[in-house]
Amino acid sequence: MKVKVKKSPIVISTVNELVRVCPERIVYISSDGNYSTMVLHDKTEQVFSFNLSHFQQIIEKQMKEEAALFIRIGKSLIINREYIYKINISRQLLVLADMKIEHTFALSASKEALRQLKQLLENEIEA
Amino acid sequence: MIRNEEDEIQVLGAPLRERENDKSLPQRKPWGNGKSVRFGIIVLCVMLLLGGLAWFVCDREESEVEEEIQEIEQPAVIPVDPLSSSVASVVFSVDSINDVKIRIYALNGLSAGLSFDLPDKGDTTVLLAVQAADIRRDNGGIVGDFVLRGERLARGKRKSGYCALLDGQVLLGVATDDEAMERCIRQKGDFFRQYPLVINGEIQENRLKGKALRRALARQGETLCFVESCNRESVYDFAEALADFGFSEALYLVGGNSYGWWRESNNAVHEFGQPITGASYPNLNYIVFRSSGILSE
Repeated sequence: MKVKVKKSPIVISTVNELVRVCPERIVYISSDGNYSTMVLHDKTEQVFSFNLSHFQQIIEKQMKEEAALFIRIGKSLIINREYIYKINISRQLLVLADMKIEHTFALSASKEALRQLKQLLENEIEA
Repeated sequence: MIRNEEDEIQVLGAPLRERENDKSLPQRKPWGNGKSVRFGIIVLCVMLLLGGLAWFVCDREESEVEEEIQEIEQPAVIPVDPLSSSVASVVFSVDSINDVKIRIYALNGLSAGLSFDLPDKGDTTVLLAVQAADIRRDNGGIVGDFVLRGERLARGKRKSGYCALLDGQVLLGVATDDEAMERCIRQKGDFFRQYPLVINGEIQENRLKGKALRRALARQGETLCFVESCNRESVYDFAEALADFGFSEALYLVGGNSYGWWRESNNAVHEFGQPITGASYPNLNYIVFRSSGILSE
C-alpha cells in the first residue's frame, strides 16, 4: 500500500502555541497518559498536553484518507509507516529508520501488535 | 475474551467498518481458538453455579441495602475545556467528596511560568499566583530540582513528582531521572519538584504527616486546575479526594499558610494564606498563570 503523502503541513493548535509540520517529517508520536510527544526525523521533540487519541483525531481530520500514512500501535504509539525498517517480534522491537535520516529509533511494542503489523505489511505486498 | 488495546494496531484514516473489511489488515478471530471457547464456557458455567448459590444464601433485602451503599456519587465534571476555550479565565467552584471539601479553580487558556517575585496585583494579565517549590527553613534553599528559564538553580530528588513548564504548558509527572528537567533546560522552560499525589488516577504514597490546608495542581482530562482543601486535611485524605473526584494527575503545592492570590473575571482579587516578606526568604517562588505568554523575570 503506497500512501500518497499530503504536501500541506498538519497544523496543531493549542491555547498557547501553533505547530505546523509536514507529515513526512513525523517519525512517531508517543504518549505518556495525557501528554503526547511528537518526534521528528531530526530527533526534534514537541510535547503536547493532550492524549494520543486527540492527536489521532487531528491527523485523521486534516489528512483524511492520507492519514493511512500513520499506524496506531497499542494505546501509546502512532508511527509513520514510511519509516518502518525492522520488526522483531521475539525481542518486541520496532526500528524506525530511513536513508533520509541519520538516526534510528528503537521502539518497543507488544508481540501481538508487532505480529499484526508484520502481517499488515506482508498483506500489502500481496495486494 | 478480554480485549487488550496494547495488542491492537489501526491504520489511521479508515472508518471502522472499512478497517474490519480490509483484507490487508490482520483479522482477529472473534471467538479465539477452540481451547479458549471451551475454557470460556467452563468459566461461564462455574460463574452461573456460584451466582445461583449466592442468590439462595443471601437475603434479598440485605442485597438491596448493600447495593444502595455501594452506589458511588459521581463527581461533577468540570465543564470548561482549555483547548477549546479561547477566553482566559479562572472558573471557581466548591465541591465535596469523601467529606473533604475542596475549592477548585479551573485554569482556562492560561500560560504558566515560575517566578521568584510575587506579581503585582495591578497586573491584570495575572490570574493566579501560588507558591510552587518548598524552601528549607534552615538555609532558605529550594527543595528539589528547580529550573528557571532553562537555568538550573537547585538540585535534589527527594520529591519524585515534578511540574515541567514548557512554552506556558504545564506537565505533571513522577520520575526521579532528569529527562523532563533536561528537556526544560534545553527548551528554556521551568521545572520544580513536589510530592506526587495522584498519577494515572492512582493515589501516590507520601510521607507527609499531620493535617494542614492542602493545595495542588491537578489535571482532569484536558482541564488543569488549582485545588485547595477548605479545611485542614491529611495528605492521604486530600489525595484520595482528588483521585475520587476524577483527577488523573495531581502534584502537591506549598500548603498551610503559604500566600497566593487569584483574580476573578470582574478583576476582583482574592488572597489566601499569609504574606511573607521576600527579604527573609529570597528563594520564595511562585507558579504564575497569565492570560498572555509574557512572564516576569
